[in-house]
Formats: sequence, C-alpha cells, structure tokens
Amino acid sequence: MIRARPALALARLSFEDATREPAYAIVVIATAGANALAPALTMFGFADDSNLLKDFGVSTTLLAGTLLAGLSVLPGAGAAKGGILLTRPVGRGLAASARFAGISLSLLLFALVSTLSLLLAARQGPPPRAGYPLDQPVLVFGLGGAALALISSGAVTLLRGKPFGAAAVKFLAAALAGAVLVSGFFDREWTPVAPFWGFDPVLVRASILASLGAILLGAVALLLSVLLEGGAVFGLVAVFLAALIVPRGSFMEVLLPGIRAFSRGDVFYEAAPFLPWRQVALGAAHAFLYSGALIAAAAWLLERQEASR
Amino acid sequence: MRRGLAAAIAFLALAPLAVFTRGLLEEPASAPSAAPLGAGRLHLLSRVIGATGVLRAMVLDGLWLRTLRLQQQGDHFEAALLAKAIARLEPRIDAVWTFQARHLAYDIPPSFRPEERWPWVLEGIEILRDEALPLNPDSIPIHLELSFLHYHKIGLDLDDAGPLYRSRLAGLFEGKDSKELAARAGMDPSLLERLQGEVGAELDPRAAGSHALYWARRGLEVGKPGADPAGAAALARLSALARIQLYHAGRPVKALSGDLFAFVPDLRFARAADLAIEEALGIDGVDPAEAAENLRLERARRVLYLVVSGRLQEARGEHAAPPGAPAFENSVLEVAFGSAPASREAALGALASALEAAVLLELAGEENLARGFGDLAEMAGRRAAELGQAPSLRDARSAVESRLWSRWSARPAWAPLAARLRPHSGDIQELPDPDRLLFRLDLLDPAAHPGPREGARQGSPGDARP
Repeated sequence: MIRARPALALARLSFEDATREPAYAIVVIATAGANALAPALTMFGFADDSNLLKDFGVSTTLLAGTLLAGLSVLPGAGAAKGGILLTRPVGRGLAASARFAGISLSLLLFALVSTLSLLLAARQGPPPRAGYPLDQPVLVFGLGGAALALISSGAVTLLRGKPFGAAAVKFLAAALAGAVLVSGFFDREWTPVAPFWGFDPVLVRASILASLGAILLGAVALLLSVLLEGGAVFGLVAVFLAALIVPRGSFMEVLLPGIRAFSRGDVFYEAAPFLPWRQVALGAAHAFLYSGALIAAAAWLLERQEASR
Repeated sequence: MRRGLAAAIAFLALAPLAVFTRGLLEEPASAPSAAPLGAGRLHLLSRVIGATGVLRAMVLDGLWLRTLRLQQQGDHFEAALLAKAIARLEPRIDAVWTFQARHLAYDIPPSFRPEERWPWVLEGIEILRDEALPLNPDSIPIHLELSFLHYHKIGLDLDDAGPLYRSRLAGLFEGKDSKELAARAGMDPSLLERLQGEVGAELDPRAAGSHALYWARRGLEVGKPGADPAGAAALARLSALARIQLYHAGRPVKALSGDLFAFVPDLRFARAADLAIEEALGIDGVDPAEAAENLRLERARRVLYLVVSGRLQEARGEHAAPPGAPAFENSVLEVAFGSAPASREAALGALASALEAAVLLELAGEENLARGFGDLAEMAGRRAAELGQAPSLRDARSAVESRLWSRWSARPAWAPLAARLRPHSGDIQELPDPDRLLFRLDLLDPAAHPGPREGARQGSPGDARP
C-alpha cells in the first residue's frame, strides 16, 4: 500500500528544500543569463550561428540540470539536511521515491526557466550581419519581464521574509512564460502575427528531452548518494563523463544513462530539423523506467542498511 | 524485509524495460552504408566539450580569435592544431570543416619549401575524409571540397609543388590489393565498382583524378541536391573535370629510383572525357566558334596521345586533316612541343626530348610508351633533317644515353641504372640537353629528385612551370 499523503508531503518538502538552496537559484538564474547572452556569444558558425545557439542551449539545459541534480543530494543540502529519509514510520522505498519526485519537480522548474529563456534567445538569434534589427518584443518582454521578476522577488523577500532565490526562480518562470506568450503575437518589429510566431517547435522538443535527461541523472545522483554518500557528486560527474565517452554497443553503455540520446543539439544542423514527439515520448518512457529502476535499487539498499542496523 | 523484496522486484521489472526503451531511443547509426569505413563517431573532445553548453561558445570564440591571430602572425603549427580543435568542437557545421581544410591545404603550404608542403595538403584531405565526412555523410560542401582539393590542389599545377603532391599521393596508394587500397582511400567498394562501370575503366587510386571523381560522384549520390543546387551543380562540373583530368594525366609511371611519379595520358578514359567535353561545350552561352576550336585542339591532342601510347596506326586514322590543316607529323609535333619546329635547333631539341623520354620509359618497363616516344622522336628527326643536317636516330639515342650514363655514374646509388644503358658513342654537342620532358617525364630520372646534389637535373620537381 502506498500512503499518498505522506508521500506527497515528503515530495513537496523535498521540492521546497531543493529550491530554497541559494545554489539552486544561482544555477537557474545563471543558466537563464547564459541563454540571454548566447546570441552575442555565438559566432564563427558561418551560416549556422542560429543552429549553434540552439545546440549550445540544449546542452546547457542538460549540463546545468546535472549540476542541480548533484547539488540536491549533497550531504548538507535540502532533504538530506532535514533528515527526512530517516523519519519513521515512512518506508524507505516511499521516502526515496518521494525525495526523487521533489528533486524532479525542482529540475522541471529549472527546465522551464531554461527552455523559455532559450526560446526567447533563439528567436532573437545571433545577428547574421552588422546592423541586423533586434527582436524588439523579445527584448522588451523577455529582459523586461526578467528584471521585473527579480525586483518583485526582492520585494517579496523584504516584505514576507521568503528566501530570495526560491522566489526569484518562481517569478522568473512566470515572467518568461508570459514573455513567450505575449511576444509570440508580434514579429521583430511589433507587427501583429499568429500566436507563437518565431519560436522553434523542434527546440521545445529538444529542450524537453534535455530536461528528461536531467531528471534521469537526478535518479542517478540519488542512488549514488545511497552508495557513496558524500562522494555522490564526484560519482555523478564520473557517470556523466563516462556516459559521454563510452563506446557505442559496449556493455557499459547499457548500464550507464543514455545522455547522448537526451542531448539532441545535432538535429538543428539538418537541412530540415526533425525531432518527432514520438522521440520525446520514448525519452519520457525511458527516463521513467530507468529512474524507477534506480530508485527501486536505492530503496532496496536503504532497506538492507536499515535491516543491518 | 517485505518492502526490500518489493523494491528488488520493482528493480527487476523496470531494469529490462529501461534497457529495451534505451534501444528504441538511441539515435540510428549516423553512418549510412556509403560512408567511409570506421565512420560516424564523434571525436572524444567533441563529445565531452560538446556537453558543456554555452561554455563551449566561449571556448570556441577564444579559439577562433587566437587561431586567426596566429594565422596572421604565420605561426602555422599552433594555428593548424587549433583549427582542428575548432572543427571538432563544431562537428556538424560543414562550412567549418571546409574552411579549416582549405586553410591547411591552400593558405599554409606556400610558407614552406615545395618539398615540405605535402603534409599540410594531406592533413586538409584527411580532416575532411576521415573526420568531417563520417559525421556529415550527406554534406555536399564537404564532398565538394574534398573533390576540389584532389582535382585542383593536387591534380593541377597551380602550386609549384603540384608534381610533388601527385607523387606523394600516388605513393600512398601503391599496392595490388584493390579492396585494401579502396579502404585506405575511404572509398566504398560498391560505389567504386559502379563508377568504374560508368567510365569504362578501373580507377587507379594513385591518380588524383580518381579521388576527385569518386568524391564528386559520392556527393551527388548521398547529398540532397534540392537543398544545395549550386553545390550539386559544382559537384557535377567537378565530376566532368575529373574525367578529363584522368584522360589527360591519369596514368602514373613510377620513377626509376625514388618515390616520384610522372603522369601520362590514360586513353582508357577517352570516351568518358569526350562526353564530359561535349557536355561542357554544349552549355548555353559557350561561343560556338570557341567550342569548335576547343574540339579541334582536343582531337589534335588525341592524336598525340595515341602516338605516344605506341598506337601510331590508330593515330593516323584519328588524324582527319581538313584542307589547309598541317600534315600528320607536323600536327603531332605542334601539339607536343607548342609549335612545329621551325628551325633545326628546335627540331633537335624535340628529338632529344622525345628520345630521352623513350629511354627513361623503356628503363621503367613501359614498352608501349617507350615505343610511342620513339615514334615521336623519329618524326622530330625527320623534321630536323628537313631543316638541315641531323644525326641519325641511333646516334642521337646513343648520345642521350651517354649523357644519362655520365649523370648517373656520378652517384653510386644510380650506378645500377647507368649499367643498363648502352652509350656506344660520345656526346653530340649540337643535340640540346632538355631540362623538361613532355608530361614531366623528367621526373622518372632519379637525378630529378629535390635537393642540391651532384649530378642533379636543373629542373626541380617542386617547380610546376609549364
């Protein structure tokens, strides 16, 4: 029997603990900032500057998501600090699942901010030539919304005493979502157009895949925290690098998370970029099953540890 | 304990499903069947740094700026290393690969002596063939650049070191096992076979034109011409030019000693070249008078090529003299030496040149070619006799062999070659000592090797003056 109420409470606590960490807010805001700067940084791609930017953005989402997954299982961080896992009468399996759900939610919030900022950055795009006009709606709603979000979160912090980082991330997500919705009704020079004009649907799908990859790595981090405790972050870095370089078709490839399948920046260089929803659905199914297997393994290990005490 | 069991069961149920969905999720093998062997793997550096997101943008900007500055300063070694690193960090952008390959093959070599240039050209080829194409197997620009490098940089003489490039390339593909050679050249055997069927002759991987033709054809086959019509048209033109190049200079003849090669016409490609030339001259906008003149020149060249290939009777049959056209022998001499010898000295020069080529070819074991150049020498001898006193062919040949003997006797390493000569009489002072031979057959002479050595010829192989 799964007891839903304590599981939801644990998941919510885990989510709030993760998002309350200053490091979380720093990584999320830095990612959004990096995406905002990307149009100015992406050069030397010849006619592929715009594709290069999207490739950079998708891998940034995966990399920063991996970093957050690692930070969320640090011994002094969030749920681990609160000792939630060890509180009876909740079972180990349920506790591990709930904690993973909380971590996943925090990663989804991050992914939302990252994806929205990337969509806006890609619509602005690197200037193909000197004097190329700026995308005015994106700049006004995107940068203006972000500034407003930071100011509002500062005010909330002062008035209600809530942590600035957590408030800033939530406000930023809302502001960027609004910016995407509103600026989608205008072209670069304020001419009204059909909704979501200028946003790349393939980029949305690629970003969702990258987010799923980050969640999968969250499960890896959780399992490593059970196995290695303080060494989980280093373990996660090792797993991440190994998954990148492991030869195709090897036995190790089966064991390691399939990061390359979740980082699909390569599709943007095709003459007609193609990443079907089927691929995203498969990614979601795989992330769910792989994460589930790892969480089950973590729960089993925790039960054994408990039994041996 | 029961909960532990549930977790274990959950793990055992989910893990195989995770492995199964992983298989479905994995991208399909990026290398299609026509891709070069060992294809489709991103460089380790690309995979690791490729995952660093926007940090990669900053790394790339820094690398590009430094590379451009180094190139301006002439620090080619570091610039070339950085250029390769850049291409590996932007592996899916074909323009980056072609830019770096062209820099390696064209911009850097002129800074070095002719005999030191080949590694840079080869690097340009290898970066395209072995790294860029496996990652971008259907890229028309990469196929175009690879084909162009072979046709233009190696196959033509626009670089002083052209003859050296051709020799070095031929040296890479010496051997008898055609499958092994095709694999070494990154060529797909089935496409190669089809291509050979189309042109009606086996492609010799020692000839640059073979590579130019193969890569142009492969680009047309695997690329998407609809997405890049200009690139596809350029590939089609290169394919035609490569056929013509194979016909004019597609048959390698190895030097008597050392690693140089001369390239003579390959009549097996005559039909393929004819079709390419007719197609080119039939394009809209080509002046009909110019087209007719070009066709006349091509016919005259065909006659010469038949003569030097030892097919004199066919050459006579091919020579169709319209009213007012030069007679057969004059026409052959005119095409071979730029103009029909108008003076006795010029005719003796042609005689010495053709005879020396005949001797060198005979020693190289090329009997048909040796006989053909012997025929050419007879024509030059008759022309010299028409213009004044001329030595007999036998005396002239003996004089040529005598000169080669004295040149080769100066070096112990060449002594075995000198022993194969029959210099019966002494030199004939009035017979010129040619610096260059037709089709650069002087490269067969071991004394043509680079470097200031005793007995060396004046003409360096790293000098492509016509």
